[in-house]
Amino acid sequence: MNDLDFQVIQKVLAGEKRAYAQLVDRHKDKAMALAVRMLKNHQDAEEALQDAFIRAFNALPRFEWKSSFSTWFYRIVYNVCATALSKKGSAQLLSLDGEEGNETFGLLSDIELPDIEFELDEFRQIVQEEINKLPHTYASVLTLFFIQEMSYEEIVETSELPLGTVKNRLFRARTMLRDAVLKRLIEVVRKEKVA
Amino acid sequence: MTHLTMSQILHFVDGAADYATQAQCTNHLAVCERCRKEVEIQKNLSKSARKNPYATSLRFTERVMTRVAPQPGFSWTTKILNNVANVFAMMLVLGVLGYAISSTSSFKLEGSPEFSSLSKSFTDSYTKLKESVQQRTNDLTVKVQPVSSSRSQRFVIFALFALITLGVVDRFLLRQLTKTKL
Ligand SMILES: [Zn+2]
Repeated sequence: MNDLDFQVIQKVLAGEKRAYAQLVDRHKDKAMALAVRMLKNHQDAEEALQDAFIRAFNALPRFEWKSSFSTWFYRIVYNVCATALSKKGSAQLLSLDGEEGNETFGLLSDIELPDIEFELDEFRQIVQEEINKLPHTYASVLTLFFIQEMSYEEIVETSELPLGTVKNRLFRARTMLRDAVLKRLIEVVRKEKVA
Repeated sequence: MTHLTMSQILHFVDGAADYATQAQCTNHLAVCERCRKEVEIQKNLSKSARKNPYATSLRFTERVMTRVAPQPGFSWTTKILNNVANVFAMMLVLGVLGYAISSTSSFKLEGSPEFSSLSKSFTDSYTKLKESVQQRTNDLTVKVQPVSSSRSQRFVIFALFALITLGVVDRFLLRQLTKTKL
């Protein structure tokens, strides 16, 4: 449990409402990543996030410390974004997830891989772009895992999805990301050869 | 050769593999370049995926806070009441200062010749300024009202000046105060 969050929450509950700004500052940017990757739009994401912070503030007296503040808070963010998506008519949070694949590498594995300079900003840029292209069902789980650094159990708690689904989505998200990034890299190398 | 599965590689990269899988991976990676490459790719994908390129806009926290814990706003009546005292104080100070400067009699200070010449040049320039201001005020006010005495003109100028200064100072102070509170 985050001691800093705990102290701030105690202050807020004791009536020092302005202390809540510290919680907002501490969590806003990471939460923004989740919101943008779910809603695929910066402005919608910020509105949803503002809504989530206000809801969390109002629900704070009912927060029971069964989980960390961040897990509890991200559940609110996740739900607010899911509601926004369903309003847009693009809710597909229950997609058809298969079994966790035990497959070996995807199609690209037999392609002669270029020597990749992973330190390049270009590589990071490509990874970020390809994460954004993933469907929100996968992008959200991936973000909770990498940016919020959540365990499977915490992702289950946040998304209220079954453990099997979480594992499966994360696995798929990572293989999809890998294939997409490698495709891009091969493209880059091909262009360089032509030039 | 049977290669590692993608799940095994991901568990290995995450440091989440059980002891047996860990050993199996290490042994295999020692002899298989293809799987080593895959591990390398996954490690770097994870590293890049951990970077958060997003941030909220500048005044995001402020916007949230005005919704959840609005600052006790001043009502217009309290604002005016607070300012009335300031207005009078400022007008008093400026009035006295203005009177002292405009009435040459109070400048009959005995002192060094440097001071006298300085004060004389100051008084002269003030008189010139006053005359030009009076001229302009006359030009402006003559159309609106009949020519008033120079005393009341002076009062009007000082009152206006005092109010404007006060407004500027007040706004500035209020801004500084609200800034430091946030
Ligand atoms: Zn192998």
